[in-house]
Amino acid sequence: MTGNRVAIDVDHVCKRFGHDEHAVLALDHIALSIRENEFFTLLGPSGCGKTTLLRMIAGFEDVSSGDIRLYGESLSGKLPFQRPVNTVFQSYALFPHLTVEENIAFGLEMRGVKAADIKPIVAEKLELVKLGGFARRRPHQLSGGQQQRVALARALAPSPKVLLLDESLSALDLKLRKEMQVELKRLQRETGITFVFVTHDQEEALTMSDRIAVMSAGKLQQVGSPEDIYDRPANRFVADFIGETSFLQGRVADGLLHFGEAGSLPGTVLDQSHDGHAALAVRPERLQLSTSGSGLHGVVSEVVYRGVDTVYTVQLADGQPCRVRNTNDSGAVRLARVGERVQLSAQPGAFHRLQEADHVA
Amino acid sequence: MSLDPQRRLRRRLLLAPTTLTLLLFMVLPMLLMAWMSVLAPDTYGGVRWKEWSLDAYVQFLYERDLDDSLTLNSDYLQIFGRSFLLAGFATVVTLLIGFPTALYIALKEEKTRQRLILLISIPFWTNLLVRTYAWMLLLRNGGLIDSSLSALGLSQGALDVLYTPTAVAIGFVYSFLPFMVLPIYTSLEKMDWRLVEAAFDLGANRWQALRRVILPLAMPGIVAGCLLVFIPAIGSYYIPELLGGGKSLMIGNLIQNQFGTARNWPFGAALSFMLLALVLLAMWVYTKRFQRPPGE
Repeated sequence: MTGNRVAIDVDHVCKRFGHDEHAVLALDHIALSIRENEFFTLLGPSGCGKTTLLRMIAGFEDVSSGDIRLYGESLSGKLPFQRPVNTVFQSYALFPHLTVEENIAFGLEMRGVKAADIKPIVAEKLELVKLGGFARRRPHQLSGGQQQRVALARALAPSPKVLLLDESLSALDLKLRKEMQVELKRLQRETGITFVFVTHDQEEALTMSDRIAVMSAGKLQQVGSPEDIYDRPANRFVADFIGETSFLQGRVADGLLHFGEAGSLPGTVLDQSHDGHAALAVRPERLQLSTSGSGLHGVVSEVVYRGVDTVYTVQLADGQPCRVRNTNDSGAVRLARVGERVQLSAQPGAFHRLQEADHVA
Repeated sequence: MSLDPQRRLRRRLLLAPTTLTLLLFMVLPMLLMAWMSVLAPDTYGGVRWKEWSLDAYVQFLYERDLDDSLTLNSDYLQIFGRSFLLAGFATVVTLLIGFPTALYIALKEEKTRQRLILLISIPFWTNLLVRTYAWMLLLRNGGLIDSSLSALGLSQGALDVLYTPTAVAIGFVYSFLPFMVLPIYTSLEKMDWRLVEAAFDLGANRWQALRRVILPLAMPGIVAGCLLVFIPAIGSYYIPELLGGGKSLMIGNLIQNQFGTARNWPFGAALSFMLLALVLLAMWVYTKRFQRPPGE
């Protein structure tokens, strides 16, 4: 459960690199609040500023303008070691000259915890990340996944108010990554610490997060729950970056959605507040393909069979391409072939109307 | 893995020049010296090749009186002690100056780093002997330092520093500083600075990050630097000769004397081996103390 208290308040933060007219605006007035005990993800393509924002919270980058507050207290002027936050680095950054045990104890020693109190905490954290028997190993004797766990245990040991994770899973192979995703979620639940996770992997973000902030080119695009982000993308960028999307142009009139010669669909668009031209986004799995019956007319131009489902690219009668994904349950639907005439129908609310400003983008 | 005979032969052939060079110019002279150290000296230098004697080693600690009885003589031990102290002092001081210097350089931008390293290596462009003479001019009474200090009213009378152990120590620190800076710089330059960031992140302040992360990781460079300063310093010959004026004798000067004016080659050879033993012992203790994996 996430609380309602705000743990981190990012208040119109800007980051400029360079000087004067050569300055690059890496972060452009970012404003968001991260709640206590939340698994919060900063998601975006590389270079979008997500890591810069994380490093600002950790204290490794200055804030050019704006302010970051931790439980209401401004972090400005506080050096990294004065902040009650810890980071799990992308490269893990484990100390090669120290054992696993000593690595985990490091943060506690630095914060002046007594030696007698450190031992049980280290043992507990080792248990927490399931590395009980590895206390005396050195980092280079561990696999990538194990090093990742040590890095987690080390960052969790001083009981930070907020744990920052910088692309922490990207160095792992797919199978390990899936395991660690579940593991991270468990750790966050068990410790009750606020996690701020940075990733460029949208699937990772959707699986783990309570809320996601989508960023692009230094700007915040959308903040919301995974469902919000997926089902109600705020703009074309978010719709395109998260999952698969077909972008279509249509017209809303009399409660119907018109696609020129392709025909029209009733009651399938979320926002029918005003009639007229509409830029639309639709997920391939929200459309149904059939070779008979009613719907939008089109011709199949590509078929990709993927076992569990089949993805069709359909050229609508008005010339727009659209992707459809249908599951292959018990052979209910005969596979359409390339060149075949088909009809597309949609679930209620399948089409999401994008903001007018995004039309041309 | 075993190699087929042809490849083994080729490998030996490729190694032959190095092996020969080492045999000819290191192993052979050392064997010759070892042999000389257990022979009797000839009257006008050189050795009597057929006369065995351990006198050279006895002479190091004892003095043979006219009646052939041995009394303890600590003169040579004192010279060894002084050499050890001066070389040790030079090592400590160059480390204290060299580490911050290397750290400072390593933290600069790539371009600035290269420029600073060039500056460090500039002294090598001139012969060390010439540079040592330059120090004589600087340090002597009425020299640049002495006259500047008197002109500023900071000293009464002459400086009187040339031809003292202090002058030798100054010469050592000056000459060997680059040998300390460069290996430490190399180890710092290779260092993953994200580890320092991690230390800060875990609550270490600058001093703690230096002591707990940077220093242990720079240890190979520090050990290398200390050896590169200590070993040449303890055997150094013309810095104590020129700056110490032959008054504060070091092992190098003693050895040179034996092959020169004293005409006691076996003793010179024996002293060389004592020096070798001392250096090896110092190295062994040092690496035992500092190069064990930390935390064990």
